[in-house]
Amino acid sequence: MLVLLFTCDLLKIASWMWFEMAQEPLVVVDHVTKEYRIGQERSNARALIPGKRGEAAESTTFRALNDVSFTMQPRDTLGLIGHNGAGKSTLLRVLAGIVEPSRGHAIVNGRFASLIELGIGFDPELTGHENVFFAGDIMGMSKAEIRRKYDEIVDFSGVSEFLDMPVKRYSTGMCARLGFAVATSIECELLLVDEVLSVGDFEFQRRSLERIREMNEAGAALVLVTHNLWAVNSMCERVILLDHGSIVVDGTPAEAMKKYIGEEPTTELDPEAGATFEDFRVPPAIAGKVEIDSIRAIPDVIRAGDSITIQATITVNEPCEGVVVMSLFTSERAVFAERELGPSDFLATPGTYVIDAEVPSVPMATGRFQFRIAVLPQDDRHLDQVFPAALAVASAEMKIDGEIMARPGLKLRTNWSVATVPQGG
Amino acid sequence: MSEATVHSSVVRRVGPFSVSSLRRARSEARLTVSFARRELHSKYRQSALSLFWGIMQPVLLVLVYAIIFSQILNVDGGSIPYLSFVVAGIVIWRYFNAGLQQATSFIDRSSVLSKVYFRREIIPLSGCTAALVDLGVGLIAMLVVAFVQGIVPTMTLAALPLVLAVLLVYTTAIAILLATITVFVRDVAHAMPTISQVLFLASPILYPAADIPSGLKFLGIVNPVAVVAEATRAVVLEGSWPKFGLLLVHLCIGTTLLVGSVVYLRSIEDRIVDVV
Repeated sequence: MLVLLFTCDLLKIASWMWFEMAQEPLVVVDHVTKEYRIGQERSNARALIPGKRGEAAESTTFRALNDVSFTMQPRDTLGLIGHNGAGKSTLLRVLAGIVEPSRGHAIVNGRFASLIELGIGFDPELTGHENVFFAGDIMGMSKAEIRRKYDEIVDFSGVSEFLDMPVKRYSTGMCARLGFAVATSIECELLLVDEVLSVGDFEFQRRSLERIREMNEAGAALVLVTHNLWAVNSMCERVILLDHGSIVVDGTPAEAMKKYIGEEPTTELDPEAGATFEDFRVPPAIAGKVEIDSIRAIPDVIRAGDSITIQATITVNEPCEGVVVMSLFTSERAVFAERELGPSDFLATPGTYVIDAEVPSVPMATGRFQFRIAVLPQDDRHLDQVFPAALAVASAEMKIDGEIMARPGLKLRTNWSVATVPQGG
Repeated sequence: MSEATVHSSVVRRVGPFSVSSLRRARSEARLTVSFARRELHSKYRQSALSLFWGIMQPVLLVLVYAIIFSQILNVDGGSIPYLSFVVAGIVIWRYFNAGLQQATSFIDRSSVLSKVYFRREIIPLSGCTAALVDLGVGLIAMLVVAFVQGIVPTMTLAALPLVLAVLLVYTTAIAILLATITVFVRDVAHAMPTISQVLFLASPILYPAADIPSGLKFLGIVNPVAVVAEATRAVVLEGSWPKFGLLLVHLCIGTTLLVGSVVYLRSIEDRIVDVV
């Protein structure tokens, strides 16, 4: 059998030789078109004839990919976005060598790890331990390599207590974590990630993104297919927007997202919401010493990637110690982005101040959002405790339409400025 | 570079000199064994007495055949005690039949096939590899039964590897071919039990090839199962040398078929995922 496999590979070698001649990019996708036949057929017997691709009439084929071309260099980070059925996953499968293009060709000049589905090849009857080895085998890792990475895999998956349990008793999350851990333990030049980050809890998603980022920093290029535009925005330097199998935009994340979200990407302040002041428990340390007079967002309407400024007027009656923070919440009061710490020196001097928090590139999302500015007695690291203990909170609520999903853990890059409002004016 | 071996999924995309072909082949062989082991594992883990059933099923079958054919239908194994005769036939048949069962192997593993690329022939090959265990146990059982019935192996046992080689090449070739065809023509899966039954009865498993009517004698020569079953009985039970010429011809045909089946599979393997 070995001899057989060997000889067949020798034949392939000859045909692939010329690729070695020139220094190729890591990924070359050259006019790739993939067509599927529409409709269930009784038999595909025609496809049994080598050479002849049972090509059907134009009208009965569905073009999943239409003349797609691009190249990637080592370490590139590429996001693939688009509506369902745009061809993202097909393209990823073409790169992974699972799906053969109908026309054109795709080459990956390096080893890759694919996270097309977590837990590929997991056998429900086998234990977690056995499945790690089996999955590693399928993905082309050697026994030695799996053994070397074993502790790391187990550690990441967090299922160490259940390794002797058949995988069929695992929860979905446990399976996903173990699968992710195995798949990302491969040392590779290219990481292909399909929408796999949507499984698992927030903590798992955060760690997964971190792990992917680490692999990228270690030298692996990344192709990320996802509807999670947050992830794309934070992980990818380049984004390809696919629509009905064709590349619509190949550019920066901002360009692609602008196009993706629609001709008129709307980020509108909800005029109904306006500025609201809610009744919060004010800690005695600064009660009455500081007040937030008003808060508003400028401008009223923004587009994806535009900047927005949250402006708050704060009156300091008595000097006090505290910090100014800004946070972005969803309408469900879930933390949307990590809070931003603003300047706080001015709290030591009585007066009225205008605080501008400029977010140069607003992350978009479906739903309604609240920017909140609060003055807190001290730098309290616990997000969830921030607001109940705030001296004063004002929120500007905004309604944002779009198809980007909310994802916690985002860092708003905020530019703060403080201006003193002249007294008695 | 680390000691990492890289198998097909990568290799097909990688320039051929990044990884040696030998390494790749080794990695593919390992994956084959890995699939086979998994198959055995999950087959024998589910029930407490699974090994017992794995053994009892063929044993009972052999006993039933032995009673029906020798006591009721008065078939005899020529110079060989009928029980040993049947055991030899059944052991060979069971391996070949395992190859036929691979017809649905691609369909059964469609979820893996559509998510990761590796040499597709690994799937049916692993099924045949797993069946080797059954074959090995069967051959030992055959020797034991023969010994109990007073047959002591002679020098001719040395020809057994050649006989088994013929069985192996044919079985794997047919496994790969059937698995490939079944992906595109599902009818094969439905027809398989019947085909298997007909082949079983048409091969001299329960009766000696000598009993085949003269008009149909060619069946005993053309049919590799017949050739292998007869040769096995000759070398193990009769202590006579097999028909080397016939075996070698079949070995050549079988090997050609095997290489052909792999080449064929590779020529259309990229269509499997679209259909499976």
